[in-house]
Amino acid sequence: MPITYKCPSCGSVMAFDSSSQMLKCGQCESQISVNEYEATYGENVQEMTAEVSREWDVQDSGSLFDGASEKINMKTYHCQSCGAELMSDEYTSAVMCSFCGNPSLVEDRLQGAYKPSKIIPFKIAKEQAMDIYRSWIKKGPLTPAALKTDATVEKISGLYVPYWLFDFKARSQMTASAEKIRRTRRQDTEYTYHDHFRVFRDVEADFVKIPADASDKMQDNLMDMLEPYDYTQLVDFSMPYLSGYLSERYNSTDNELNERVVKRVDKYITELARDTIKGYDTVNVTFNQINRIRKNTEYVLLPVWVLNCRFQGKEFSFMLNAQTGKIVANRPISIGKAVLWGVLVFIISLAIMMIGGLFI
Amino acid sequence: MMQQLMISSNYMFAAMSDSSLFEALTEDILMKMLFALIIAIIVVVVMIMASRSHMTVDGRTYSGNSARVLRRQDRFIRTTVTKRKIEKNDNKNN
Repeated sequence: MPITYKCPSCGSVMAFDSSSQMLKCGQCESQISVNEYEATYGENVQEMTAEVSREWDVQDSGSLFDGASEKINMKTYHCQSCGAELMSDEYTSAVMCSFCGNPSLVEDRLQGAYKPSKIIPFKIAKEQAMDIYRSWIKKGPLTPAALKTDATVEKISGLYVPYWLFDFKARSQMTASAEKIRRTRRQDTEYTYHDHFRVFRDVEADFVKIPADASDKMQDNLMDMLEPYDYTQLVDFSMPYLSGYLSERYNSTDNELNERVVKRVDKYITELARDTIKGYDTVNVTFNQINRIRKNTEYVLLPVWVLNCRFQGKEFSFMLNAQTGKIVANRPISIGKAVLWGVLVFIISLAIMMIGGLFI
Repeated sequence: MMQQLMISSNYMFAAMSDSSLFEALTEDILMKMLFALIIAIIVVVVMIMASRSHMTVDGRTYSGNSARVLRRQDRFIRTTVTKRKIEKNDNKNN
């Protein structure tokens, strides 16, 4: 059943405002903190939702979309503001009405096992996200000049992405053969001494809140690049934070994502153990025994801006960490500029070698 | 006139192609061009790679200062020696 947050003053729809970190009415611009709204009007929201759901029965349309590879269960709801049909797949937990633009939350996808324990609310507003994007496309020596003027942002969506945060304790027992090399010279002979060592390290570390996105729609490698998030800004989950943004519940459980995180943990503990072997000229790791224990997992929602752009007939997606402003995208490359840079570097390096050759 | 020019150029070409100096110079320039080409390709590839997004986190991002060495051992095994004759630079004689 869909939920909308109504303004206590004028009855219009309220959405979470990232600038003030409060719920803000789109009509009368009155503001109220999320906690205060929940404490004062939380029960009214439930009652109102119950009435509305009787009035507008949720229709399970079954498998409307029979895709090539899998069936997607689509459900239809009705917008409480304009009555238009809202279609969502089985994972969507927060939507925007495509007719009136008002936000609705799908409550049963935010409760029970699907209730996130924490959330980082949006810190960067849509205008700030656009500013970051505009300054980003101007940078880069290989960026096509036309990108600054011709690229159009077709859609910008604020999305709460479901993540699992993993806590691991890991231990690496590493054996390596290492060498210290020293050289001496006597008359016309150079002697090179290789001092061989057998090195052993037993290193332990606690990894806290390693994130793994639990949404099948998001590319894992791009989501990994959006890190890091500042977890000191995690707050207890409350549904009004989602008002005005898109969201979905997790597609994959923590156990299903475990293997992906274990690979990262193994890589990290190996790097930490390797970094403790210092003072050698060469180090060759011959054995590395890794043990790890999963201590805890936590289901959270983290904020992302997704910008869909069009440039010269092609579509590009940019993602922006809506807490830190870090942008992730594969920047379009100008082949002409790449060739120009190549020729320039070729001429300069050839000139340096020719001039240098005159003095040798 | 034309015939004379052709003969003289043929003589020059023959003289230069026989010359070891010309061969050395040509080889030297070709080598330098090859190096310059390799440098240019490396620089452009690095620029393309740098323009792509990449991960900025590592193990320390999530472990903080929790990493601790429980046991360490550095055991000396042996020393091996290699020796190399240093050739005298005889460029001056040439």
